[in-house]
Amino acid sequence: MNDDITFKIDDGSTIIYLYPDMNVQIGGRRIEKKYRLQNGDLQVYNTGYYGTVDMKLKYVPYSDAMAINAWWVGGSLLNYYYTNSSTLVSSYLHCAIRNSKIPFNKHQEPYADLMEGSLKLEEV
Amino acid sequence: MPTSWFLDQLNSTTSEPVRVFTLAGSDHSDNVYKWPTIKREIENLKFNIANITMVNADGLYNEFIESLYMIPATCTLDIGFSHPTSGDELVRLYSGYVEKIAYSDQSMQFQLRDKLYKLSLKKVGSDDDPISISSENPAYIAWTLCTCYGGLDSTASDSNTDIDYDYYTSWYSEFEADDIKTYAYYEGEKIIKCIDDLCEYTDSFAWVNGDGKIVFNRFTEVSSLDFIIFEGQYKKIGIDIDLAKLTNRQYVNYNYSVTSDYWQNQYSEQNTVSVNSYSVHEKVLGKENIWYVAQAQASNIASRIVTRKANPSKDFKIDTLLYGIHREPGTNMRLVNSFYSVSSATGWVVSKQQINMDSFVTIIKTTEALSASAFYLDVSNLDGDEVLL
Repeated sequence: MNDDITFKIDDGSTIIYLYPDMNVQIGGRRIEKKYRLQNGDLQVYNTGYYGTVDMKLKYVPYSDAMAINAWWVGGSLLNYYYTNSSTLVSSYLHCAIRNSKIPFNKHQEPYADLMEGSLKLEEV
Repeated sequence: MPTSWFLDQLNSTTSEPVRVFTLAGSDHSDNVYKWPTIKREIENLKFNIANITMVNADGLYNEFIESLYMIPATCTLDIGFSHPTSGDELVRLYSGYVEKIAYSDQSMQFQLRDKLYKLSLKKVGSDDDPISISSENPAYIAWTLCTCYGGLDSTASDSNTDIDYDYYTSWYSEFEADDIKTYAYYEGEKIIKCIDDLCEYTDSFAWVNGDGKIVFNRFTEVSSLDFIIFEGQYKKIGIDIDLAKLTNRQYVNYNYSVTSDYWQNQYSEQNTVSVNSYSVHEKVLGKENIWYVAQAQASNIASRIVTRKANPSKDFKIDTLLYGIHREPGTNMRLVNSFYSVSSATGWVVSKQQINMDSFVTIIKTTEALSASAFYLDVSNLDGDEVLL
């Protein structure tokens, strides 16, 4: 992965820089119905697609972690993207945080001002 | 008529269907949580409902709680495909009105009802002030019931918004050509019941099409031009054979006396070949709110029935997909299935159609009895004394 790339997430006003482990998982799911026909053919109806991004984060400043937790609580609509220096490398993923539990719930031992957790983002 | 590109999409094993729900003219498709199942049929005349569940997390539809009665909530449901350059090509499956709403947590459900619902609320005549109609074309009586008593659009042209005028004029002309006239007497029955009786007594059917217009029609002869459903177009097939649907001796009551409350005449006709094969299966047809006065007219209907229903009915239930969405109840179709040795040489009438807009599964029920003898049914001969087949 290019060292110059910077991961970012924002709610339209606050930008938070992310420094994930080397395990960013970019995924997606097609919304489709599949049926096997009498002659053996497979019929597929595709009605949509949404992208996902999963990552684990360590050493996140307490203020950033709390801001992300607040976005999770509020169901905020967010933009996820990454840049190379000041240039946009990825497209924007218009998303919301879809963790089943609060994203940052653990202090990064032994640092009281740093948190660890994970983010599950889904396109909305 | 669907374009060739639209038909290509229907026949493609991979496609991207588009569904559209409009409420009072505005597109609310993005808020649909669960799409409805659209049902239509010709065996029984009844209004059709469509339940559509919406996401209401932001309270967008809360205004209906206080103002359902004052919102002009005409709704439409369409399905089709998005053409890469010319926009969406859609088939309208349903038009109706919001008649009921229900809220649950952060979702809400609209229940839509079509135009026949209006006809199920209103009655014709009363005990004290009955409506009597003498010697009229039965199609005209149906028109009168819908427009004068049901309040539907009476515009006598294609622009009629409630009745499919082309089908109506064709239906009218068939009776006119056969010189079929009926008397009618209504003492407070619901309009929908009166029309249902009229259709049964005249061997006709009615249903509401996707544009929300009532379609009147009679069963027609199967043709080699009718559409075929092949094995690569459905995922499941079932066959139901019911001897109870066989009728080979038909009695038709006519010349009803309102003052004496009894039928003055009865005509009977049988299909001897069928009686010899399956023994006698007889039925009596008589409606005390509509009747013929001449034997020739009773003979016409009896001949049609003992011809159409002379053989045991093989009814098919086919779970097809979007291949069936642009087909209409009452139209004839053909079918191919190698396991049951069904070939396209025989035909059936689409008697029910159930389109699940959520799963895209379209269930088509066909009734052989409605077009028994398939290619040999010549309705024009039924008016005379010719022995068919």
